[in-house]
Amino acid sequence: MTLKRLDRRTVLRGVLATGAAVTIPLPLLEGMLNTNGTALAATGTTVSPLYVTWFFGNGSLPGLWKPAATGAGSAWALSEQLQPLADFKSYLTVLSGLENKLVVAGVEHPSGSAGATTGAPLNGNAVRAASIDQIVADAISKGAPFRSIEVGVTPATPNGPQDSLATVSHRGPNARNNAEYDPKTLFNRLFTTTTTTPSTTQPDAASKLATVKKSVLDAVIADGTSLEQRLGASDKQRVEQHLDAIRAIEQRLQTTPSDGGSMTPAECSSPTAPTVGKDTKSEAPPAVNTVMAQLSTLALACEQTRVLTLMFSLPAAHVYYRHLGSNMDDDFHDTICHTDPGDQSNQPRVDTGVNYAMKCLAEFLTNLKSTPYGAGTLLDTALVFVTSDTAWGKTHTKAEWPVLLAGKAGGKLRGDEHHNFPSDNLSKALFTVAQAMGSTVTQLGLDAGQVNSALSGILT
Amino acid sequence: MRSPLAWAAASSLAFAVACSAEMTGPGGATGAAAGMASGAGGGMQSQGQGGGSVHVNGGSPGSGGTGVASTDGTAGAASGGTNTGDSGGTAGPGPLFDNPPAYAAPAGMLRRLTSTQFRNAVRDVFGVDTDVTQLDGDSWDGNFAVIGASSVVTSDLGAERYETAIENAVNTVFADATARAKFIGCTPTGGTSDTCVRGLVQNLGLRAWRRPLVTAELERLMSVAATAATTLGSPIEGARWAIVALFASPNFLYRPELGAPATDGTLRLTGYEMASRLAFLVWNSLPDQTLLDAAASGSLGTTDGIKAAVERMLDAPAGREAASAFAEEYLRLDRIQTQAKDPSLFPEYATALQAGMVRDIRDTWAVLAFDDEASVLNLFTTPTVVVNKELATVYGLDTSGLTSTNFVTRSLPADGPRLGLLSKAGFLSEFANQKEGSPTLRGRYMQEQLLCTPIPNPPPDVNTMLPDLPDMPMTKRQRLEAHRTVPSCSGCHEYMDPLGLPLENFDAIGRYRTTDQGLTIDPSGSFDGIDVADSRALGAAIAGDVGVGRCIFRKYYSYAMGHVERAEDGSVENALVDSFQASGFKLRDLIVSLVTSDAFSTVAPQP
Repeated sequence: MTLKRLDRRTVLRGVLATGAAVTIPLPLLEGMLNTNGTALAATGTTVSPLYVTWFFGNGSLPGLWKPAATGAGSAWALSEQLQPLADFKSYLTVLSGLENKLVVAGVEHPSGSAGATTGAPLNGNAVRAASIDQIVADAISKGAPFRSIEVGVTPATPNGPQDSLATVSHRGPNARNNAEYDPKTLFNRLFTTTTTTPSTTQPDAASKLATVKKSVLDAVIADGTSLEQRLGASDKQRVEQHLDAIRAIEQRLQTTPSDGGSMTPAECSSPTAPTVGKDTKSEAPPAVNTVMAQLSTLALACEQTRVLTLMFSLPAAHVYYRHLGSNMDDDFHDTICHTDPGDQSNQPRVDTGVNYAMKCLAEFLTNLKSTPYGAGTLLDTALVFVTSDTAWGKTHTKAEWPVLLAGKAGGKLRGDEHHNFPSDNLSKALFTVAQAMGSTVTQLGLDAGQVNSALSGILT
Repeated sequence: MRSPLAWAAASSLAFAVACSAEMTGPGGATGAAAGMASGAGGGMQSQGQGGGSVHVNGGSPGSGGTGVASTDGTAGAASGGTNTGDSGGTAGPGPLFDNPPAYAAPAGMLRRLTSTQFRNAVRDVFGVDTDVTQLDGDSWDGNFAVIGASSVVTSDLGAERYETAIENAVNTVFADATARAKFIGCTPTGGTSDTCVRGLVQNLGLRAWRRPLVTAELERLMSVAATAATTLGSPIEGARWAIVALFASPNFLYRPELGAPATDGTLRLTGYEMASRLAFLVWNSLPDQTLLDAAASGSLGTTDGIKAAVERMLDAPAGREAASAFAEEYLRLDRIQTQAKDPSLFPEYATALQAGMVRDIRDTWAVLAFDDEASVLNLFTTPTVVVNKELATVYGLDTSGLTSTNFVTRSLPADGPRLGLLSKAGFLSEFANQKEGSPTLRGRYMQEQLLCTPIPNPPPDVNTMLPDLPDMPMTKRQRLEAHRTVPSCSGCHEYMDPLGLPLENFDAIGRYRTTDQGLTIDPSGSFDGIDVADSRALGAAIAGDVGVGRCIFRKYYSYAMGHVERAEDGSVENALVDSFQASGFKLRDLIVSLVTSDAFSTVAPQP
């Protein structure tokens, strides 16, 4: 393969443009492949597994979500609500019929969210187990600059007190991984070194600053280690998790691009910053989805992280899709899902909202599919787990939970299949995902959500 | 007597989940969460936030269900302590809790500074403002961030953000040579023996960590300073990075309150731990030198010493935070700054108005507690507002001389439609969606937070289908009434809507209005079985109810103690609530008696 020098500015300006439907060309990564197309030429390292949770709030219309027929290839066709994903049918594994056994009346959205992402019930406001992305991170994130990255398109929320309404990524109980909603802040976190300018202008200022910061972080870790000695088990664990985060910062300092030996392509270290700001009107605007989908793709492509959660909308999101038309200018949760007339197959405004969510998912999948990675694309390597916090929002049904796997998971998934598991435990989908990503957990979830096996016939 | 919520006593009440569309909002699941805590308690206290049914007083079993426990205990928890059992008046209704178990100290805590405390501490030390939304999010437990602070785990992103916030604050000071020189106060010379930086680290460290640094800690920071001074070629850089290390340390971010053995065998907070607990309760920030001196002298180990310290702290300007910071959490004012409103309906809803909404509620609490020295019950009838130009406009007050950033205390017209806390724009706006106010959410807040009656979880598997409403203009009241014709809806909504409907004269940002959908608003409702004509009558009814004062006591007790109310708190609460009531529900008196109680300074070993 010919190694071709590319103008990174040109490429990445294209990447970070907003508004237009985007095909991310990251030929720079192609340029990094060896002649077998299986490894990064610069280092000879094989490509890493990649995982994404893609979450949308307020559920679907189950009658329009579930494909009519099961099977593979031409045996099944996309349902109405999955039509926006038509370009990716060969990458989809639809898992229907699953039931969230953990939905609690009165707190359906928070308990539904916790069940669908942790497989466990709530304990007061806290989740009781780590979410699936963090289980996967335990298996695949070692050595990655960021253990996981959480991204949100809209902060629209019902503002309830439960942790499972505020995010769908949980390191464990009381350990929320909140989404970053501001594209610029996310960009800075991923692609620039932390903060500040030193008061020196020496050419090696960056590495000197890194030395100083390392000594600061070492002192912080020593302080924390002393503190731990005075604490009981659970508080000790809390401090230890903080120190883990400090160690991760330290690790990144030591691999700043300035040392020239970075594993990631140089093009990834200084892309152009986005200009789109965060959603301040709780309306999940297309421009924010576009740029967040792009930054998420870059984070994976540039190996900043192997585990990412993209929250298109939060559980029970009080989102207003004004940009979809004047008839959509109502609270999607309160008014449209809950009070619009119609049944599970016929709530037109709900359908419009779900359709928009799936179009936004399609935009992200487009990016993954068009970004070379290893022998194929990001979508060949990645597993994208798509789910929600309820099945049918109007009455918070728990049967026919929306679950979709996109991507080939490095060959663990065949794609282009629809499997129906009537009334089977939703947690088995999480177990299946964990297994696909190489996790060795033998049991997942708690109470009615506890399972110890994967759904049959899904993984190769 | 207060309406009980007893599922067991009203098993035919099915709860309509669809009716709960609005209940997923602010506070919408608070009561449910409390119920869950008692059910699912893995590893947590076995009591729900309501205090449990074991020590409920008032109401006779069978007369309507107070104290009748449901199968999972939530109803009992729900009714715990709301039991004034009287019809108002000033006479004490008897103990808050009957036959409480003996007091047992809760385990010592390691609390993380709340976002607000972090901001205040950084402001007090560096004079730099921090955007609280750029820190790790608070956790809320028992409706308080100061309680969630003892269990919250810092995320990777959060750790980065704290570090960044400190670097930014130090950079701001160091960017200005004059400010920097003043801050350091001497001339750094570099090296580990730099006496200037050593003294700075010692003094600043005492305040930042709320205790003296031990030798190893001091030397560690001096080593950071020496490395920075040498590597970056400037002794000033040594000072800079030692300060960053001091404030990036877990010893700044976390507050250990673990106690030390006293002669009687109990674990008492050390003098420095007591100084820290007092400072964060009364000032919501770091202790000052005088308080740290008191800690060093041992005087915070005596009741008189604590009393003298807290009186001084309450007299200081920052002492108003003892009311304001509580109000900020109690009323969840953090939400106001993150909540969007429909820009076409509410073009005035922007940063300045939101700031006004927050300031109005915070400062009104402080004015009543510290300037008027009034009962907390007066909050519900007070004409006092604290306004900037934008908020004065919403309130229909004269705006001459006002700007967005200067706030003045004003009185609303005594005969106007708006009086008291519940008609403040911040409260009304918070319990509303982007377009319209929510009687259900407003009522739910009142039921749970002012009456201490959590709405329990409904029984599972109820029929949740709602009839579709006719396609014609209806007021919010009419729509809610239509829903309440469904028996499965009315069970819960009866406890919320009649409290919230009197506020229908105020829209989604708290503007006064007389029509809804072009139809005249009927603002009548009821409180504790008393019909009220409108929001003023509602405020007057609430202000006349000692049960509300006693409920606010319970909330403040939890807030001050930093943990969710337990059955074991009953005896301490019984004593404190009586003195609070005897004082005429004066918050300042409550704070003094609370911090001088043994419970405030006693802990148990960490498990």
